[in-house]
Amino acid sequence: MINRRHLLELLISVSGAGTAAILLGGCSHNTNKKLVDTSWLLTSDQLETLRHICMQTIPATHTPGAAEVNCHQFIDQQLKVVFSEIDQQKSMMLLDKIRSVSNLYGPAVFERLSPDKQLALLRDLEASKDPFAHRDLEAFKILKGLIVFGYCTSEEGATQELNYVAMPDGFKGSVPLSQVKSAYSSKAYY
Amino acid sequence: MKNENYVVQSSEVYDAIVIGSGITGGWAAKEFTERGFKTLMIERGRLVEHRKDYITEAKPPWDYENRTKVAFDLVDDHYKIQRQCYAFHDGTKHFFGNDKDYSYTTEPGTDFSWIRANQLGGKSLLWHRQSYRMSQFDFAANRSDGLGIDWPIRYEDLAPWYEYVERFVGISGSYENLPQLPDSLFQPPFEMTLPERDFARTMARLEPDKPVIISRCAHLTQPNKIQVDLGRMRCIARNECQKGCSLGAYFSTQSATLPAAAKTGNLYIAANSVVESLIYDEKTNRVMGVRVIDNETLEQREYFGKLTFLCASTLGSTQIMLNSKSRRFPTGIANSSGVLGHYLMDHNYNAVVTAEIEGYDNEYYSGRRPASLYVPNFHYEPSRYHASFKRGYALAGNANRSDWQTMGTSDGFGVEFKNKVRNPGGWVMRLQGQGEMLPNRENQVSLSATQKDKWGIPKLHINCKWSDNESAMVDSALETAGTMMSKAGFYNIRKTILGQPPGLAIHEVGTARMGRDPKDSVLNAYNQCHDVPNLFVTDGSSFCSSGVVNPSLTFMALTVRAVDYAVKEVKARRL
Repeated sequence: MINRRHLLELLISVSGAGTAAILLGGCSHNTNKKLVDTSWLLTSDQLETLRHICMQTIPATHTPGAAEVNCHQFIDQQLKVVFSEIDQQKSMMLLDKIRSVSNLYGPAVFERLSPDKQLALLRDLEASKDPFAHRDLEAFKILKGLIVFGYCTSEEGATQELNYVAMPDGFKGSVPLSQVKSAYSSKAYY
Repeated sequence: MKNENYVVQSSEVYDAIVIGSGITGGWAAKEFTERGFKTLMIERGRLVEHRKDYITEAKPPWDYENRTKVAFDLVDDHYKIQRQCYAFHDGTKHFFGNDKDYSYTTEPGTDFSWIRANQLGGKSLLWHRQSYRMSQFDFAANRSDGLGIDWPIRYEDLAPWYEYVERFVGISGSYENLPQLPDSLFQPPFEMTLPERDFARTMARLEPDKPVIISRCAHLTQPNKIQVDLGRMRCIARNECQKGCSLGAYFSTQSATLPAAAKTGNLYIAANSVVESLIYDEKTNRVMGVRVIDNETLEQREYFGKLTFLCASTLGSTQIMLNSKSRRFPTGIANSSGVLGHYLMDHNYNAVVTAEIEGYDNEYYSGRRPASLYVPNFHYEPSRYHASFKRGYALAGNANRSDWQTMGTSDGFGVEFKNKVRNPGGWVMRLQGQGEMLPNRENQVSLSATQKDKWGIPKLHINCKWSDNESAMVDSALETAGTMMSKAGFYNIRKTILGQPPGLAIHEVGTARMGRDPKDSVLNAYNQCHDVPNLFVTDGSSFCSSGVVNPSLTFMALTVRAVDYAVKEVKARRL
């Protein structure tokens, strides 16, 4: 990491305190929009199913999991705002299907199944095994991709689980991974 | 800039008018103003102030409403074309043009993606910053194989001007002494990753005609006094350049040429001024000024100048010229040759090869490098041409570790999956072909006979497609990159043809080309119109061939050379 004090001094000298504060204030745009508990697209049942899928996919450990950072609500919003109607429909149909076939795995809807049973269902889904088909897997890839994306671009996921470095001090071509431990991304965030 | 330097209405006759404020416009303005010319820079879009208007800079993804994604309806309505650019996202979209306003038509059966950046600074805010000199072979190519008219200049004509701009811009790179890729004046290069270094070493042994080097880019790695005095700083490898960089670590109009020009007190800027046409006086055979339409109010006004430099981008400048009709030039100003609008070229980036690299498990890197690997064109003269196509291509890419952005949909759940997302994956090498496009007369832009844009200007109609030569080059690039990776011991080699139309390399060139003969070219060896002596065109439209390398450094060198020539001509009272 760059020596922030040194950079701050340089920036103030060339651009004034305002710009320096924006750049070095710990990403201080910091509108830090929290997702409010309102539904964009999904029904409350679908949202609850999705919340449990988030918990199974990226659980809480020493860092928050996907459900703790509200990935399910993020996905609800993304589907509504960023995705096409076709993808929205695919995703909603899959969530409905997961709910409707849950009774094959236990005497309850998905969110009330035991964690093991939930996992068994999700593993069958990922393997396109009966009662799931390949088209279900395609829809699930949308949701799973969004869980990962939502988690890794959340403040908690990016800074606690991953190592988001807003201001690297240049590029070093060879660093032992054992020193880095986790990585946010090697690439520009396009 | 002081407020009095921003112009709306003016009856002043400026020493020079520069149309456009991107890479070439910025340079033309800097050179004219530093030589004492009172200069008006005309920009069709809004003002963008360095630092203050980089509204998304350093904004982390969680502070975007849609985490950097752009709303579907907005893309569908306004950015269907712009979204095809790799750099388009919610943090950069305000620097892209709106497709609805900037619409154009294409010939049925063809496609062209025209990426727009219409604001002060133009595409200099969005460019990919890769900077190379064209070589002696590039300037001689048309003559050597007969596929196009001869460039009226040679590498030696431009070499001192390359050096001149490089000293100011700041180019990072490594000295390689390659005949097909002349060295620039470099600041220290970015480092390669370890697998990249090993790949370069292996290729030096097994494929000696395909040296693997670090790319050359307009980022400061060791700023000189000129750059420091302008408030520019060393690149810290955020690689979020297209949001704007308050450090001025990459070259843009805002970070470099504009403050230099403003320092002189000779620069005036007319923003929100869409040039409708040039005002031509048949008696004197001179351009007297420009007619503009206000970008917002749609009111018309005029500006006047003794010299006019068109630096409005290849297609932008050509559109203005085509729309500047008079009795003498019924098909567009300075078009006695009839070639204006013809010979549109881009680069073909459709060949992509990836492979996995075994090992290097405890190897990583830090920072986000704005440079890549580069394999210069190895078919750079006729004796080295491939049997199935003319000219050549370069390869560019990198080796880095996969991460959550690419592993997100892989199998798994629970803690094991969370760890997978957390930890870097295996090493992946990616190489992309960057092929030259031949100058074909049929690849043409013209004015729509029926459709006008919101400013009442005829839309551009684009008729452009890849030829069999470019397609054969794509096949060869796939084969070559695959072979190199195979020889390096990489596995799971995947070859992909992207199928993108011309335009997306954003290297459009060639529609008002230079040449020796006024019968088959628009401009002379100094980018001066053969037909109208006080009109110069110094952007990519002046190219006779596309070459292989990224063209921006050549735009800059041509521009400063043309300004130097024009100023001398004025002082000698020949202009």
